Amino acid sequence: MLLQDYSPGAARKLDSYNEVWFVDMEFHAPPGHRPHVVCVVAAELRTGATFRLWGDELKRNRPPYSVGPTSLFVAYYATAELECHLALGWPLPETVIDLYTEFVLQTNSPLRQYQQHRKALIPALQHFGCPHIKADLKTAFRDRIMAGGPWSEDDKASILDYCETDTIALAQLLPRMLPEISVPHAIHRGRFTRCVAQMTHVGLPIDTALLQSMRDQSAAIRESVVSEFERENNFGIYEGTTFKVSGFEQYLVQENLHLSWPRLASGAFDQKDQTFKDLESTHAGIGKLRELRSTLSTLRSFDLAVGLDGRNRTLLGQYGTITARCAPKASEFLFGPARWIRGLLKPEEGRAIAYLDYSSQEICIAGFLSGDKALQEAYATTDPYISFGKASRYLPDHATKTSHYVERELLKACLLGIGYGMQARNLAARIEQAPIFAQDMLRRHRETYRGFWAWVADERDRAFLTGEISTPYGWRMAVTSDTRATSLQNWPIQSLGSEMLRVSVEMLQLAGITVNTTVHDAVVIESSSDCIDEVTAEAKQIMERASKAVMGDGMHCRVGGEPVCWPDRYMDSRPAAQEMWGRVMRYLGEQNSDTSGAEVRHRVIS
Amino acid sequence: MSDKKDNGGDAPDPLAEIEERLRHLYVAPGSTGGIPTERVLLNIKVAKPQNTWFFRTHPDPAYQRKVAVLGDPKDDQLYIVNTELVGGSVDPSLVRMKILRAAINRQNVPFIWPVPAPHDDGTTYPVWENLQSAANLAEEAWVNLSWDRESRLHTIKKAISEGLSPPLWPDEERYPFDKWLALAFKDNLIEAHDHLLLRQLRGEF
Repeated sequence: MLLQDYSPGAARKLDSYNEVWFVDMEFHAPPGHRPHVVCVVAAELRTGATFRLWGDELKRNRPPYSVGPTSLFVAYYATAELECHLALGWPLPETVIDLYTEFVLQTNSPLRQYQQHRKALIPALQHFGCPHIKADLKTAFRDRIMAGGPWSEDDKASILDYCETDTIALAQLLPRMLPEISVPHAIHRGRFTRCVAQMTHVGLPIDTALLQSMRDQSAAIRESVVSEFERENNFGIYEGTTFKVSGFEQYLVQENLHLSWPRLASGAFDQKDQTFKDLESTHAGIGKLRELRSTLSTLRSFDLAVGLDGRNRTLLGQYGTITARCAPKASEFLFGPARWIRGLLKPEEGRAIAYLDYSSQEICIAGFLSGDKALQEAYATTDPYISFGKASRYLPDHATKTSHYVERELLKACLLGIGYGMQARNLAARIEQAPIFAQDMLRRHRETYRGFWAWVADERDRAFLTGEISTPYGWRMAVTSDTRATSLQNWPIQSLGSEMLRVSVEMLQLAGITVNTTVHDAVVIESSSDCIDEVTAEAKQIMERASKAVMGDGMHCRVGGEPVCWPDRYMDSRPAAQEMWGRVMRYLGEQNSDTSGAEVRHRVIS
Repeated sequence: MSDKKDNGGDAPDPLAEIEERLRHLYVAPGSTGGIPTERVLLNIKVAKPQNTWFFRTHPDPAYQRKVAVLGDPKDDQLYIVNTELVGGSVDPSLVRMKILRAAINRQNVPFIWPVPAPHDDGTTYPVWENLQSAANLAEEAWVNLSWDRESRLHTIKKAISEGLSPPLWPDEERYPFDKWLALAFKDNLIEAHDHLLLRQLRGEF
């Protein structure tokens, strides 16, 4: 499809670019590996010029197409093509539009049917009424490519032809999507797509020797941790490694959680991980149980994707959630649900990493978006929980984190729960208090932060009146009659938080700092041990600067985190994770005395 | 893998470009359009407006009707009762008078709102009057209802933006109010004393 086939309005949106390249690449990459590029097909919109490169033709220091600021690079799930660029040693294109991201944005809705299969090109083509090859033919080609060859001359020609069909599909898709695309915003989103490719290229350093020990003995570890868990805690939930629903029900009754625990329509207790997650911060037993469930699930298949260079790599799933946060494939990602596994994050000799996260990011953003001065002041005090307690007259004026530790934990759970839109019943379950207490905390919050609640009401009204909700930087979500009002309360905060983190990563990379990955509101960075302290300090400043840029000069979000140098390892600060790590290490230590010494040395980062 | 690079003390600040870009990208929320559709109605819900809805009521008196009802709209078990049966086959204390109002929410979902009507003797309550006022106000403006525990009345909010589009009522020729009622109540009409619900209420089974 040439430019003259575009509508005038769509064509005008591309006026700033001398060249528009549709690019598709075929590659094979076992889990955790960098891609091995098989072929490239690129076609230019205005001239129709087309390049088809295979094998040795890829051994060049630049791509055959321009990657400068006046050339637009268009791909679908572009991190794949950009990772291929890095694997080939080619420079990254400066301006990228990822039609995957734009498709996610144009169909962004909490409804499940819009959440699935968006990483593949065919659903996007179907959605916009474009012709496409059959899905089974595409699968057959992908399987042939992933097999890694050798390929006959006929194979090469047919794979190149197949690759070109995707390039043609991109050319057909773009004009259909352009009317809804704000090109400057799309390119801004594409900047993060470049960042993701660079993070995936780097990966996370893994203690591969320890990982291999765990893999070799995963079945025995599962049995050992369950029996030790039951022996110590006497929950009576597991028989062998099988989760018994009747035992779980008895446990909930015993802990007096059976009335507040969410149930399914069938009446059975909800066993979704999110339910356990919601309650773990205030109920230590639930936290332990969740870690055990995640552990057993992780050890069952142990899919952690690690390449030959000892680095964990997986699709980071950029823009994969309704709030545009990354949604990596949990089973392949080090920062998946089983938190103790994160102890496998260990810098190589002479290297160091740092896990840096925004402190109370949601509270900071809620203060910014709502303009509530009291909430902004609470965040500025460095301890918003104590501040809330004092401002709402729940705590005396002399209260501190030390003098009122228990109350502070309660207030923290309340503040975060209310921020997520919890009502009295769920909040009561979260903080293990009577509903009347939760109602009182909600009342105190409403009275203390009136500006915040006025903003919540305004946002909700605007969303239901216009049928959508959006961030100041153009991320949006469709709102229907079925949308829950409480989810609209949290969406703008999470969405702006994700924007903040994306800008942080771009700034960090631009400043020459190696970023390994993002984790919700955090990043992992890496450098040599001898300069990690300086790099960490600079990275914190940059992240705070990114928060200022996103929110305006008036506010910034604080950043916490400390470096970990070889031979130490990273360890999640939560007690349940450390307890589980201890169990696994004890088991491995009993089996192999070499594993019980230096390998378990770690440094806890809170 | 690259480590921290020294950009040189006099080099321009590369991060400033990102800050400048963010300043330019700010957009006012909620500015996208929708896709026009032709509505085919197969069902109409009988419901009180949810507290997240902005809604309108049909201003034409032909699109409202005072009826006697039995049951509870919350579990889709609201029945229209032939008033001639009340007092005979139907215990009057079980029957309530409602004005069925054609209504539509901001998402263009039509529904029938049973608004409490005064008893025949004129008896009414503040909360009923509160709802009747909301229903009347919604003839001219987008209205939102939410329950206020303190006053024990509904808080009535009216959208005051002039840019809001008017309600898209279903085509009046294809969907007169009788059609609305037929779609909404279907089999939930009690017209004879041997209706299953009446027999159940009389304890016949």
